[in-house]
Amino acid sequence: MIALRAPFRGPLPAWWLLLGGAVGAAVTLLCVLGRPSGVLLLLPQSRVLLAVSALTVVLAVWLAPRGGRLELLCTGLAGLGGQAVLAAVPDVLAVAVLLVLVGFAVAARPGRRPLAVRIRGPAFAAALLGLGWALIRSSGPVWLGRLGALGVALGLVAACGLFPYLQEVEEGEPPDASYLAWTGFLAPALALVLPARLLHGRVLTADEGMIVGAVLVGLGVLNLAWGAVGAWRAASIAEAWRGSFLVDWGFALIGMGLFARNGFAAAYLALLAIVGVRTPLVLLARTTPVAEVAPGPLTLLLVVLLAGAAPFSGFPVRLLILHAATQLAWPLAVPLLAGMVLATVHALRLARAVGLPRGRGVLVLAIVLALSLALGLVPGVLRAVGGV
Amino acid sequence: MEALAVGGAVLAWLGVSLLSLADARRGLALGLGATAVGLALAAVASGRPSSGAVALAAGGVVGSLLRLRDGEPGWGLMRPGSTPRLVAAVLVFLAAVVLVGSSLGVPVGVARLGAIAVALLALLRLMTVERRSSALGSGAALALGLGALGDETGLVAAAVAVVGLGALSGAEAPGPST
Repeated sequence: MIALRAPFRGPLPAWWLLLGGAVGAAVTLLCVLGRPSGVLLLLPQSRVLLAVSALTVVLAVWLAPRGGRLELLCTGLAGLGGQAVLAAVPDVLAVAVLLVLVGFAVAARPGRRPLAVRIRGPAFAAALLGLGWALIRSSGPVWLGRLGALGVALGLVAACGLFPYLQEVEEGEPPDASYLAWTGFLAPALALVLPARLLHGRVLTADEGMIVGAVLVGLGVLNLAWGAVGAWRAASIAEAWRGSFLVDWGFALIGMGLFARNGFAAAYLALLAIVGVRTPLVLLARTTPVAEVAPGPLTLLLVVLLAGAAPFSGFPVRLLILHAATQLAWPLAVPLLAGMVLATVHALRLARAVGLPRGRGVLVLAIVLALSLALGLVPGVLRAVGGV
Repeated sequence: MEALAVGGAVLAWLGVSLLSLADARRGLALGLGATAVGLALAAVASGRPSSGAVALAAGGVVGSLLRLRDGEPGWGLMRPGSTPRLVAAVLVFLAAVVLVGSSLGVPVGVARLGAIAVALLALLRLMTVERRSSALGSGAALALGLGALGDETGLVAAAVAVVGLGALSGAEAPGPST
């Protein structure tokens, strides 16, 4: 017990945070076990994402200063529970309702902006998703179903905190109170299962499916461009990191919107990379003092990783996206290729921001590099495990 | 059943209108409670499982009682600057009528009308509110409205969400923290 307690030495967090962590762990366990059956159903791809998310929580706790580890562990477990429940509840309306609850739980964390401001994005997303789904399932005129499809697609984008629903980014904001909570941790779980839920039972008509696909592809391309330029030109490094998330999300949205097997696979790999690679790198960069940064072989390795080049995680994503896009309509490959080239420009800037980790950071970086390599070298194995 | 559905939908709309016009704890709690009971009545009338409707009503009442424990004391109704919210309450109802359209003649359509009106009005309030307790109240109403559009799972999820939001403190944070 003493050995277990040692890494968490420091003041105990508030009781409600301990309770939140315990509830999060219990909910995650129930979702993994699928109990009660029929109410909670975790798809294989969500199980893989949940495992990667658990690793990210462990890395975040490992990186945290000793006094704050237990608090971060509780927050991480609560987040893991939120992620699990959003992924495991099959009913889209119930997911929209739970999105409100999870949104408030995140917005209630101490931060620079008040709760009433931080809840607007998730609440808007939940309303779009829920009302859109209700309109799709209503027996009204055709235009209502199309309006609903538009709402569902925009709701997903809003839940992820992507363009045009970008949150304010502030330097030094705690990770769990910043855009990172949704864009880098919670939203991938929702995005991974929502297309499957939409397609299950053929609820969408052909027209509605086309609207969802077109909105996702269109906003995916926009996010890719916005993120690539933003990560390159943004004044602050925090905004540059957010831009790099938008690039990854751009690929994920395009992959989902293409409604093709390779497109889904690209989205799945992109979402795994967001949670397992990009988010830990941002957390790592926050612990490295800027003054210590000196370019070297490690920086070069990170440049290759962040540029999405082989053999790291971004490469199969780009390859699969291009494959899926050219199968649908080859002209789509032109803006995608342009976006991919543009998305390499910011790599050096972000690699320098990660710098040269020391102490615990070395192990975290090694694990992140290994995971990125696994995603890049054996995507087929991960696809098979996730059933994608 | 139609009369029950209409009564429930109207009660829900009045409740969420009250909630959107209130800035203090009593107004928020009464609005939230009335919204939950109204939506539950409409859900029962539209043939949804009664266990889900009971859960929704119970969750809403517990959530509204929890809202009474913090936030600004009193009713805080119709403060200066609330005219746009009053207008919005009427306009949102009309918009919900347009969205539900032809199915208004059956209890299912009426129940849907109440749920959509609640969700839209709560969302509008949430997008403009600055106070923490009002945001929590509006968020709970949004969850109720969305849950009432679904079947039993949605109704129970809404009940859980409302109780969960009620557990969060409505007291304003002392200020930005780092």
